[in-house]
Amino acid sequence: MDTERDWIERARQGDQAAFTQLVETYQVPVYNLAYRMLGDPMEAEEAAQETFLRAYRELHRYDPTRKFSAWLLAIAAHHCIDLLRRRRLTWLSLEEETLQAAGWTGPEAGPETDPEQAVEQAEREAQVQALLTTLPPDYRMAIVLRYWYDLSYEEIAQMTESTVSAVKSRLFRARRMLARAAQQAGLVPNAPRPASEPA
Amino acid sequence: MNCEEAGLLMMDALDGTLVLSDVNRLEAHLDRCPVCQAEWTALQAVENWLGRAPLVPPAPGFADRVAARLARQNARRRLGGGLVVLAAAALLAFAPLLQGWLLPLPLSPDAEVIRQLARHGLVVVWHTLRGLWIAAHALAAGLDLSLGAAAHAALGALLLFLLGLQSGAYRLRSADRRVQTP
Repeated sequence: MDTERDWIERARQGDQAAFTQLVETYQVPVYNLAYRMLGDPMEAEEAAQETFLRAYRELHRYDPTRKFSAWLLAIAAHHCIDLLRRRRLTWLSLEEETLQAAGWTGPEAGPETDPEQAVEQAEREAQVQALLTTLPPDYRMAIVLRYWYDLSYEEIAQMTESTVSAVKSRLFRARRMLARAAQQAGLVPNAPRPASEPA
Repeated sequence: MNCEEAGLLMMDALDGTLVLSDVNRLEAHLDRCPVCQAEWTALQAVENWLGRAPLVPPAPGFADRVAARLARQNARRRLGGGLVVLAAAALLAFAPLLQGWLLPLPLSPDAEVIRQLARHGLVVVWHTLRGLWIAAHALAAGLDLSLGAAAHAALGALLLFLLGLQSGAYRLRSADRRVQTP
């Protein structure tokens, strides 16, 4: 995008207005990544702001042959991983109360058409976030980049400075952990179903 | 097919990369393995929830908050850079005196001149103006051109180099005088 390249070039020369254009363009993906990783709106706001400040300081290192969004999200990802590691959380198995407190009502049956759509949307948000918090930071990052940013294994590997096989392994384990957490919390039935039946 | 292989095929199925022959093999396994069947159901449910979760936006005014923080940060950096250069300039301006205090050498002619403030006011004014000139230009460079820390460090190094040059020249002159003295 020529406009974006122009903003980046001007921001590199110290034009803060041009950098603000970049912030406005990428604020949602950067904030969402921080929120999905940290699970707290205040922390996510702080982390997203810090991501942009770091990006501004490091703009001279940005390689224009790379996608700017990928470069920016990589900064956000590394920052969030650092924050999570500093928290020194103990990653325990999912506690059922966590999801029930978040308003879990069961798996989604289809598109919402009733007036309670907004409420259901909020509940589902809380459920997804509660599930994500059961994952270790590296696994959570792989899930977030895969599902919210639709990145390929190769792109995730490049962004997280890892290998494709390591990313595949993390996603494999992360999906299984999420599935088992949902089972343990009673969010999905443990009884067997035919494989072709949609969940 | 064992459960481990079935698990791998489930991941391929979620990624949409499962070939038809493997679809049939996976379904056959799921039909006779209740544990894998339950896991597949849970995986599909999680896939569905994650796939439908939207991007969450920040609170309104996010870009303005970042811009304000960036402006504060830049102001601090410029001030810090300017102070570093100012300190280096002051060091150069008063180098002759520092040289006399710190090194076991006779004071340079400049230092002697500065020590005789009362008697040589004109020279003192010249030294002061030199220091101010350097400081003003260094600050202007730091404030207007938004030079980075590296540029400030380079300028500081240049000033220290000039100080060393001055000291070295004085030592040479002193040596010359000793040689010429019978």
